[in-house]
Amino acid sequence: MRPFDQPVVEAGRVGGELPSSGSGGRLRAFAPLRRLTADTDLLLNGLCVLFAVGFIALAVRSAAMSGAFISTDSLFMTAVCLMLAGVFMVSPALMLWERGLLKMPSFAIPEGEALIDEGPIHFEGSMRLFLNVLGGLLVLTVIEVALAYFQVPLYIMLTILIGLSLIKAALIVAYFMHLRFERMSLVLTLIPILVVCICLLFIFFPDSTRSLNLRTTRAGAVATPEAR
Amino acid sequence: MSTEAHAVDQSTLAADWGGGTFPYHVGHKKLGMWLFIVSDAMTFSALLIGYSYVRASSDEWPAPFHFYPSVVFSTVMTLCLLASSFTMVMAVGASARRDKRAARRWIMLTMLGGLTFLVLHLYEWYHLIHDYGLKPFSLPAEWAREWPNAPPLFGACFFTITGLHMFHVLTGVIYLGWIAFKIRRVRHEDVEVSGLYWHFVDLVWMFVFPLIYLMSVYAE
Amino acid sequence: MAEAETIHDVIQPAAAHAHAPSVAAHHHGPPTGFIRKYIFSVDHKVIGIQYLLLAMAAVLVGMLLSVLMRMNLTWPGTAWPLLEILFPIGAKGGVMTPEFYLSLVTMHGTMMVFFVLTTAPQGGFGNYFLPIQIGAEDMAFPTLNMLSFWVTFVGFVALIAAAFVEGGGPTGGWTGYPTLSAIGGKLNVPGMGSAQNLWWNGQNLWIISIAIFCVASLLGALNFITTLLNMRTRGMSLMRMPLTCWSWFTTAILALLAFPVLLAAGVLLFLDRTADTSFFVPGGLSDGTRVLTEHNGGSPILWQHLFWFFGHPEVYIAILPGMGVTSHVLSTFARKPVFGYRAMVFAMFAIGLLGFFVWGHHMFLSGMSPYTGMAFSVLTLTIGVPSAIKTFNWIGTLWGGRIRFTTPMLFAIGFVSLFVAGGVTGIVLGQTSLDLSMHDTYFVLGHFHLVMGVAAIFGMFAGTYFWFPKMFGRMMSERLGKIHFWPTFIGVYAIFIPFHIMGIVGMPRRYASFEEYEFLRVLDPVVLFVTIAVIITVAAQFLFWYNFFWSIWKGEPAGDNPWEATTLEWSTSSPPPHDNFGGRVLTVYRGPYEFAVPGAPDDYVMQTTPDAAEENQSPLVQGGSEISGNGHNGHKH
Repeated sequence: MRPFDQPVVEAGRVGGELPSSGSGGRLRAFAPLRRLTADTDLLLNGLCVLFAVGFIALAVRSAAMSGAFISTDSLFMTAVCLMLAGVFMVSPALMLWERGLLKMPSFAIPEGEALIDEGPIHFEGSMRLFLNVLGGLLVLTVIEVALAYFQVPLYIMLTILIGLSLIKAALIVAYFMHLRFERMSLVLTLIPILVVCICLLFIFFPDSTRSLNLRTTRAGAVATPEAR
Repeated sequence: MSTEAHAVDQSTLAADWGGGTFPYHVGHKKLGMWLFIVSDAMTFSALLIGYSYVRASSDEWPAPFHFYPSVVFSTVMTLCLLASSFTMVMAVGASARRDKRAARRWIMLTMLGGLTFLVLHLYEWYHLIHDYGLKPFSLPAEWAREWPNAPPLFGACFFTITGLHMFHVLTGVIYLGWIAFKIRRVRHEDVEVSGLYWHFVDLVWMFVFPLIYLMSVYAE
Repeated sequence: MAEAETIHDVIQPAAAHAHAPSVAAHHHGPPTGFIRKYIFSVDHKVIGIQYLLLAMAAVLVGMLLSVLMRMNLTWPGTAWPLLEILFPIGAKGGVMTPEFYLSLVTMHGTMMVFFVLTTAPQGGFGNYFLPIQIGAEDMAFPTLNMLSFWVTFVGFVALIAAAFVEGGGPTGGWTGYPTLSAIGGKLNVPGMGSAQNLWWNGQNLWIISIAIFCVASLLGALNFITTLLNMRTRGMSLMRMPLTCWSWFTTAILALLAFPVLLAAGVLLFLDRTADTSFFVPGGLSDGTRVLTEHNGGSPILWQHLFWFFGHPEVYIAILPGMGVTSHVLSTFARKPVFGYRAMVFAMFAIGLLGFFVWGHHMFLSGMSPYTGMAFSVLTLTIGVPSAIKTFNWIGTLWGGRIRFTTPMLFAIGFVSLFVAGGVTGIVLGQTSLDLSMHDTYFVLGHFHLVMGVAAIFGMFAGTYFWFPKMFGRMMSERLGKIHFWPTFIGVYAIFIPFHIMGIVGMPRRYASFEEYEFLRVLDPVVLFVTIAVIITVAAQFLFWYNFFWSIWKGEPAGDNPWEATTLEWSTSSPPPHDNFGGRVLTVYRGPYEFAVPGAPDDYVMQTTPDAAEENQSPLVQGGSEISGNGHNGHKH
């Protein structure tokens, strides 16, 4: 087994362009601000902090606005918001820990363990691209939720929801699942058969509406032995 | 010109499909996972179609979810999954750069997103079962009064579909945990394949969320 | 590890595989211990034989069940003392109850369709010969392969257990139609299984067994597809694959897409039984004295849709491998290339594709809209076109050949005969108006037993006699094989042709006895005749078993290529070594059926035989190695 031929990049360096030595992590916290802002890590973690603050605010609002704090809804929302805030704090906390600003038990990988040689690795797409896709997905989700909020008539809503969900699914498949960067032949193998089969399942629906139309007794009027 | 291009195309085709090579330039595990995803997508499609079928054949269907808190809550769950999908892409990216530590860290973040989703989801189940009295086989009395012609299938559909999805999330978290644990010994392809599975779980939710939650928003 | 790398480089056909992330999975040396070698083996050959043995066990059970059914139909109300010992509840006093008869029907159907017709041709022969025929050293996921088999085995055990549990056997039929399957034995309804509502009743176990089987099958299917696409050796282009490989490939695609739907349906049905949901339980269901379900939800039709969405492709899952084997065997023993190879491939794919479009023809009587029925009817009749193409090509293959009437050849010809005989009644049943009167009669039983049951079994027999020398290194006895063939061939016709007549007279299927139907009295001699035919045919099968097990140890030793066939499995030893080709990497130079090639020294040319003219140019092979040098990541456009 050949040793790993590239220097192991410091954990947490998403950009990956900065080489680092094993102990240089702490020093980087004092590097110039410009260099830090260039780091996409910080952007993401900033977003996380923002989310966390937002959720704490929501939790406070939920606790303060509800008449009875000890009610399921209130407890539910408060607890959930606080938990989410905690979740969003994890990534920034991890970043701080990596930069030496926060002490935490280490789960570092033991040194000296042999790595596998796996030949050239193919990966396309940048953090910016994936952030854009994530943004797109979030926007579509928000639109979907807004439809529900504005009480759009059910059938119109269903149509739009399915359309939007298909777009979301396509985004996930194309970018997150990387299908866009695979060969066309793979796409042509996987997608058409799936689409055809799922479309076929829609043939069920005439029967569904038919049983609705054929039903003579409406519920509530189901014949009971006494009624007969 | 065009004939030449055609000829080149033919020879690539022959080279790709002539044996002794990977026709899609994709290894076994990745192809296998893709096929599994196709298969699993059929399972979920069948379930969602079944749900739509019984809903369409019912005189009435309950729309019990208030926008706040239910839909907001499930939106938060959606955001968790979307965020975890993003971190998973970053994990795969890190792994592609052979940055195993970053990969492990991103995977752990992904698992965290998944676990959060699970916890929120279980809380929601608990809430629906205990506070509302929704059961797989019957509607809560309050809902039954409001939608008297509705069949008792709301709970059945809800728990079956979200339950199966939850099972997938749980499997995914365990799978990712295994990959994170063995990150030094696994190949990049393994990380990528676990990512595919995770994104698929996310993708399924992109249909479950609108069809189960948003289509059941209470008309205020 | 360094050593492993070197081995790896030696056995990989192309450099591309050296960079393959997961090829390392195949670096298992030959196992040594008994358990790793024969029980939990990851060798596809051992797993294939395990599948075959499982199918043999299942077919034995299924056959005995059919004998029991015939006994009850012919001599209803007779006490069979032995039965009481085995089934103290179902056959109290040795007399079969109608519920017991229904569970026999269910067990027979499920056993045969799932554990024989699906496992043996695909799991058994496919596992054993697909990797060898494409020149691979194992399946793409050997461990997953082992897992598939053992999961299938668990499903088999669950199904066997279903017959014996206290709650009574499964009564829903192999199609598991609700409402019987959803509430049978549950609501304390007379005539719907046992009185107690036991959780471990046969119907629950049946669903569990089927769900397990679905998981195993879809895992197996993705393994097959990956193997076939990714692991073909140099020069083995798709159009040089034997038709058997094509059939396993098509079957695997069908299984991959159809089984998950049944899995979903099974989950819903299981919830109906155990969590009291009502997906498939209609409202207002009454047993005549009281209303059992006081709601208005649930639709048994939904189950029928979901089930047959799976069920019709399943029919092709059973028959397509038989078609592949038949084409292969016919060509080999007619010493002629397969007539219209490309047409055969496209016909196979057309059948597979159309198989997804026609499930509605099982449901003409569900009250579907006449327009939908019409569409399904037309599509169903369309399947006749590719089926006819295949039949004509088989006949074309035989035409003018120097036919060697060996046992596998006889069974392959028998397959064609049965497929045609069963297929033409399919045309009858495919028409809505005719199906209305034929539905659920013995006519249907005759049709599908001939076309997918017995024909597929004949495909398996052909495969067994044909490949036995390769699997065990010894020939099966030709004389016994021929003695086996004739009673079987005549016997199945003697059984199933009368079925058509009974169906036309109006005998409904799944009835435990016809004593009370005066208009069916006229059929009594026919019923007796069929039963005698069944007993003789079943007895003839023991010849096969005897031949099989006797030949494993005592058969005449076979050489590497006893049939003078051309495909890759015949270019290795019998049985093949652990890595199939002893470390050799084969290169394929030609199509699979080069018999009677003008100018060739023998009347057959192996796929691995280089041909001077072809070796010089061979753009295919060179292209292949060029690509592989770059690994699998390059070549982006």
